[in-house]
Amino acid sequence: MLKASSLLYAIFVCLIVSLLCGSLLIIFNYQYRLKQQYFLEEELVNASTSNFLQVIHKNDELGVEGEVQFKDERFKTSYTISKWGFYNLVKTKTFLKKDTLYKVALIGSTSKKEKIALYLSDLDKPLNIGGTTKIKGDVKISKYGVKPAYINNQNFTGTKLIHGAIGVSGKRLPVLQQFEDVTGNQKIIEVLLEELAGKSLYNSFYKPTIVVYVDGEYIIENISLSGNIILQSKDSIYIKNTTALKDILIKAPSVVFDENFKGVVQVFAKKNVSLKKGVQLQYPSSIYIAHDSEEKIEVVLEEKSKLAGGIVLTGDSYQSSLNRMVTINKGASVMGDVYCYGKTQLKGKVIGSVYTDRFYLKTASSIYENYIVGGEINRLGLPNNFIGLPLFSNENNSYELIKEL
Amino acid sequence: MKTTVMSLLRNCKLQASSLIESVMAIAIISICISMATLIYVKLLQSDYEIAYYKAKQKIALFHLETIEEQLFEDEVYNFESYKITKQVKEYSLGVNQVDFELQTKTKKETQHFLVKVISSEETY
Repeated sequence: MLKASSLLYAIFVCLIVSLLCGSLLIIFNYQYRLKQQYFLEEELVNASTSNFLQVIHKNDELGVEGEVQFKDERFKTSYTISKWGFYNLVKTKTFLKKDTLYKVALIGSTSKKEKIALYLSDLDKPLNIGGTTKIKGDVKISKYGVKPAYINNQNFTGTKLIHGAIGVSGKRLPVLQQFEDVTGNQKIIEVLLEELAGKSLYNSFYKPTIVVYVDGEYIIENISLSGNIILQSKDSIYIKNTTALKDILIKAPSVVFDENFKGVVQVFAKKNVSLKKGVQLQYPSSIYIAHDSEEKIEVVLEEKSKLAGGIVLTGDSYQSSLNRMVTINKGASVMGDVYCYGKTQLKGKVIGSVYTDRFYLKTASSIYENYIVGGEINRLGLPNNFIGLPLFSNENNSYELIKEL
Repeated sequence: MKTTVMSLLRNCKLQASSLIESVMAIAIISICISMATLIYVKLLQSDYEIAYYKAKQKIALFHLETIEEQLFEDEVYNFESYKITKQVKEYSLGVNQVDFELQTKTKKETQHFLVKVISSEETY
């Protein structure tokens, strides 16, 4: 017999409805918290971006570490500024309770001062220009000025010798700022390259720098290194195009990049750096040699090789400046600054500025001093917001973001 | 077959509930359902409005436009269900502070941003 118990059924229905209501409340609550978390994360990202902007725009005033905040007091950003090669490395950490946002970026300085295409030391010799040479931008050269040259049965073919204002240079190149400390990270981990053979290694800039030592003369191949890594050798190294290098520093007396190598590296060498045919050192890459020697010190960019960033070749003595040379061969190009306290053989293209003591030209029959034939310097072709190497100090510099790492 | 079903129905007896019992049950169920409806409506009301989401999305868009097109002028944007007011002031050399105030029927909120000023000679 089926019992008629309306009250029991009513309570049962109530139970079902209350269960439904309860689950609705829980789901809503969970979703509400999720939305709040999402909005908070959005605010954290905005605060991190704003605070990061504050850090790079106050670079001169700020110390190597500190804390900034903007408007919302909930979000504080702690930062540290150190060196990574030529550039400054900014690490920020924005946090709110358990949420933390890290940001690492390379920043460089842009000079608001005069932007010249060529600075040639006044060694009492005129600058001779021949063939298809183009110089676009203001120049500072010897008081003897600029003359068209006739070499290898070839006249100067352009319409104007210099497409810009001509000023008089000094006896010496502008003084470079010191680049002693290439990495501010005191903590390092040492690794031998043999241990990494065939492997891929990435190291965060929040961790201690990994120094990968290369023992003796070495051919580096089939390896991938990126991030907070220094590749160091006491001898010359040859980097094959099967190697992938990104954002790392290379410290070795002599470095040769194999044909068609591509990567982003800052090279700190002592003797020679050679970029074989088709090498592409992408932005922000650079080559730096500061050394006095009786032997030849040379940076060579072979045909079709490209470098975006800059080249610095310097030293203390005038005598050894006679042994220093940058050669940019036909078809090779540099985007950025070339600073050479020595000779520059320009047959290729520089989109940026050239600072050199003298030009050098070797043909099949003879050697010429202060001659450019078939080369190009185009300061006007360089984007105004391009961040080159921070060559000179005590200028009215402002800092800009180069890339986030 | 037909006779078997009929005999089964005859044997099954359904006891009737009293009137009071039925009224109480109806009362309990109606209270329960009204409470559930109340909870549901309250939940819907306490959530963010759709206009709020739209306004937030629009602010993100205006912020990007400000950065890319360097639009540093005060503006008021009126939309059907919300209003956005943009205010620009200089924060430091080369950096502007851009505030966006969003206003919906129930919410009013201000978001602050710092935007880098690219000088005209830097624009390539």
